[in-house]
Amino acid sequence: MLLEALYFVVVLALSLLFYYRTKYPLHVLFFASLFFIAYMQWCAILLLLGNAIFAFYWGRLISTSAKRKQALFVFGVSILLLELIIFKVLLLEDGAWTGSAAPKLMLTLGLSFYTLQHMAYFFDIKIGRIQPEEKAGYYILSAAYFPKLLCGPVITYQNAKKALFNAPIFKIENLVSGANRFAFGAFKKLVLADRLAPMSAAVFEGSYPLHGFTALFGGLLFTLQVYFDFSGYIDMALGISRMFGINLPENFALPLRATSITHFWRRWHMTLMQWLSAYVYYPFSYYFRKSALLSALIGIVLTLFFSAFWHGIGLTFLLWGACHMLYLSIELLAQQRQIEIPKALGWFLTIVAVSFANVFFRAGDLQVVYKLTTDIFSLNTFWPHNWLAGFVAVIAKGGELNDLFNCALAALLVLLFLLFEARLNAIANSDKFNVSWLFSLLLLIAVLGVFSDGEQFIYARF
Amino acid sequence: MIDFFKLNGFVCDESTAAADISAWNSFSHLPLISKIEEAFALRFSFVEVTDFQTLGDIADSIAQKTSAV
Repeated sequence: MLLEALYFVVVLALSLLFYYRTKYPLHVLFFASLFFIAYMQWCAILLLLGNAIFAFYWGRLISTSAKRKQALFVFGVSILLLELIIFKVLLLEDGAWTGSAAPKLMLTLGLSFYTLQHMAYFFDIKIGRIQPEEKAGYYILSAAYFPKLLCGPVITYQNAKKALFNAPIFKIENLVSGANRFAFGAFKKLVLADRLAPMSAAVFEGSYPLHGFTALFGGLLFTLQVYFDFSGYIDMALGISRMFGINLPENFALPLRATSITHFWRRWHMTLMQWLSAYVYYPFSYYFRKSALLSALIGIVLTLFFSAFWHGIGLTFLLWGACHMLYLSIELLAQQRQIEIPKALGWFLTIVAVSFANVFFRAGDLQVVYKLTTDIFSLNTFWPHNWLAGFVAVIAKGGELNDLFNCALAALLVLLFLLFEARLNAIANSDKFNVSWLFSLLLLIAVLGVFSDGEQFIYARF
Repeated sequence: MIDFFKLNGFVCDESTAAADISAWNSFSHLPLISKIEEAFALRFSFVEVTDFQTLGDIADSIAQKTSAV
């Protein structure tokens, strides 16, 4: 881990040095990106380049064929979807949650993310919103740009073009604010997410039956874990990118403070939701716009179906999507009837609903789903009679002293973090050199970080 | 706009955007557009509908379409 981190810092420092000193900064970004992918898994370069070259030339073909535009668009998207299905099925066979999928997973490094870029590119060319890129190198770089490759943020070609292809201007503020944001992300991942990981795994991979409250709490633990894991990665990606003077879009805006599911989706994985809204929701709902209810319901169903498919092929992901379809439909009907509930109650219901849906997201297979939902809906045994044995011992994997310590520490850190999150975000985005901020984060990571288990980023699985 | 979103007392101008009105979201954007299309007896293309950011954008497009008739 230390060697990997050192290697990454050296490569990053050299890339920054060459990026600002050379006359060919985009070449530096391109080779730094290839170097990064090759380090993770060299085979992934072939898949990435193959896809990007296909998208580049197919985009040109769509723009030049006035009569066959629609057919070429459908064919191009079908090819990309087919590829996504093939690789997701391969991952599914290997068990995406068990870690045994690692070699194949690395082959498909960033596939789900850059596929979205290619599909949006085809669509925007088809409807005439953009012209196809003239230079293949520019298009390939927009797909391969390494900070966003592994887990996003999701970005369209026109946004990548605006962000990436500017002459670099060295500003010390960019380095400082990038470092502030990167350290913040590393803290979220290594201290918060990886400390929560064994606790949520204890619920989802432990023995059954559980008390309903414990099973539902497992969903909350996973929600927190995935939030710190994913937003931690995004902080690091945005931090590195900012060091190059390139601003990538934000992906989270305090989602755990949302007071409804609609608000939650405006604050969680925002770039994916913007993509889904622009390329799935609106294209289909547009034709049904005369009926407010029908257009919204069709949009909700198709958007969440695609979102579930994008996360993984399987009934568990579909059930997760179905939960959110139901939540959003209920909220839509409530909105139409102008029914409002107190914000505190809305927040509580949102957290419970998201945690419940995440039970399906994390469960892995239908057997686990069946067991956990049976536990949750067994009202007689919902509350543990013995909290130490029925709750604490479960999430602390039997209640060994070091596991109990981890639970208490994680609970304290997470609560403090969520309480002061808005203020911490402001410091992480500051471009002022703050020694105490950086020193405190590095100290916390060194003392409390989890380095031994080698936890992967959760969204790298998708 | 005021009637559609039932915004009593709300003052909107050309710069008013979806972010200024909490009820103006993905669910309500298309029905709003549909009402405007009905009221002015015109039709917006898909690209126009998805590119509208402010009331000014919608007003400009209406002005362009009605003056062309």
